[in-house]
Amino acid sequence: MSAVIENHHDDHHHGPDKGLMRWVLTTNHKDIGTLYLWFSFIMFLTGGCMALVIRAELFQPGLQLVVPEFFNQMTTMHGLIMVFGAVMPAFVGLANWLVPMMIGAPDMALPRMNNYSFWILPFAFSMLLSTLFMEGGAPNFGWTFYAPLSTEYAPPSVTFFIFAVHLMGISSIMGSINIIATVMNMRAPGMTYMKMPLFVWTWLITAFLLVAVMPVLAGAVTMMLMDINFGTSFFDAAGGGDPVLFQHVFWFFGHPRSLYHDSASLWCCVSNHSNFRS
Amino acid sequence: MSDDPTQEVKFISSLLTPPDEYYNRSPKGEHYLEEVDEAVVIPVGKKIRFLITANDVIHSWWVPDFAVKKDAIPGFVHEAWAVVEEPGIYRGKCTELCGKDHGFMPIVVKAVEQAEYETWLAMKQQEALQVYETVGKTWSMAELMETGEQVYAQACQSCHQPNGQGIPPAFPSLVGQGLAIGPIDAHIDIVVNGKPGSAMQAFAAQLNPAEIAAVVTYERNAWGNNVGDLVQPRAVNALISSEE
Ligand code: HEC
Ligand code: HEM
Ligand SMILES: [Cu+2]
Repeated sequence: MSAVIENHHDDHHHGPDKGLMRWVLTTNHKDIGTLYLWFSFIMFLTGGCMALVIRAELFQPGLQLVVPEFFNQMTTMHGLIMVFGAVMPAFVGLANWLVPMMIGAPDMALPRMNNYSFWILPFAFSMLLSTLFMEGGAPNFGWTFYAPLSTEYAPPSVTFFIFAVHLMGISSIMGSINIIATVMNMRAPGMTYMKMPLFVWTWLITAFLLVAVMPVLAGAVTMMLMDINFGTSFFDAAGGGDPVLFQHVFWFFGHPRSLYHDSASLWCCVSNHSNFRS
Repeated sequence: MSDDPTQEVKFISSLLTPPDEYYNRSPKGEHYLEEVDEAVVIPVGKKIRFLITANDVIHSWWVPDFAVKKDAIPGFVHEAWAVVEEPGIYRGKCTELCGKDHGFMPIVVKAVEQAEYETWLAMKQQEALQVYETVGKTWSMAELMETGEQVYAQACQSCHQPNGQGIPPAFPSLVGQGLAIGPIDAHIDIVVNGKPGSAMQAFAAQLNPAEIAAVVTYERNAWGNNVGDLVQPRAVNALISSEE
């Protein structure tokens, strides 16, 4: 036996990193769930401040506090931040906490990807919020960003908005793949699909939907990018395109996303809890 | 301009509420932000077909009393219909977010008896005839500047701003730079044909040749732009006709 092995301590410290690095590097599903929930809460407050501006302006008829351009930026950013920054991360946060525990898994199936999915979000939303300080202002075309208001008539910052949406989409798709992989592979023995809690079921279905529809959103914003910067006419009738195509593509994403994702997860949270109580 | 100016009746319906009301400098009237200078006039008791389109972004033509809400989409024509039984004034609004002035574009439809409708139509045709004649006459600088200022306020200042400074980079300034002090032909061309792929639309269909000549002359000689030249409506008309 060599001295090296004799001097080796098997009981060196294993726990998480200390301080900030614990959160930056964490692969623990509960830590990441917590990050998602805090992020969601911060975005809720940010979007809430914008709602305050909107409501303060609408407190009385006539122009009171802000100019119409800025008002539209506030509603647009409020909608985007609430939908993509508050509601979606809140449900992903809950999924991170609950799904492994509900199916008896030690963690998510892809812990590093889990970390990556989360940490994309602060960058995406910093980019989105930075448009408020750009020349020409932030996106002002409503959270549904219908072309051509969001293409030909958009402020230059729309390109940053497009890139931010791409980042959110990447994050969402990776998060969804993770949930699918976890639910399909990491169930404890005996946890059959029919025994799986409703919350896990809805997330499994939602995750499949997200994997299917987020690329469609990415397609919509990419077509916008092409129309704005590379002379295509996807959404411009003058070049043979169709502004309504945008709405079809957008709602192919938006309809399942808003209705099934948000409401299915929400109602299944509710039904789960009422089950426990009854 | 077609050879028979009475064939079609054209008008633009603009917000009538004075800015002082929405800037809270004067009390708000009864129809605050729901009044226009030129209402759409239709006869009662007849089936009216509305053809709806847009020339910039998507708007939506909504008159709740007619149960009509149709998107107005640039490059496409949507249709809707209504039979209005009661004469009166029917009000509506744009219901698709179309930019910063979305809250300032009401719809007013005036339903009148057939006879009154015909009087209105005759009056509009008479006006069209007058425009046709004014295009033929020779205008003075002062006349062009006066009309130009009005046209500018109604059709251009939402983007290029009342002082001509625009909101760069989205909407360029017209003061002391670019086409407004450059070659006049290019200046007329951008107003007549717009600039494809930008928010600067073609105004040939929306403004008559006299108005285009006036607004171009105005831009070249307002806000310290002292180019000193002018363009006659006749020349603008010739240009538009040659392109048709
Ligand atoms: C919806 C917004 C909008 C309205 C309304 C508008 N413009 Fe423009 N205008 C623009 C934009 C955007 C450009 C820049 C086009 C480009 O070069 O890409 C422009 C460019 C111009 C230019 C050329 C400026 C230069 O030096 O290159 C002139 C002249 C002009 N507009 C005149 C008018 C007149 C006259 C009217 C009213 C009849 C008008 N515009 C109404 C948006 C508008
Ligand atoms: C903090 C409480 C909230 C308040 C006071 C609030 C207020 C408002 C107001 C006043 C508008 C209308 C703006 C207008 O069109 O005139 C609005 C729009 C909107 N809100 Fe909220 N809101 C709140 C929370 C949320 C949440 C949690 C969501 C998440 C789904 C949300 C999503 C939206 C969306 C999508 C729009 C439409 C934005 C658009 O037209 O582009 N809001 N909100
Ligand atoms: Cu509108």
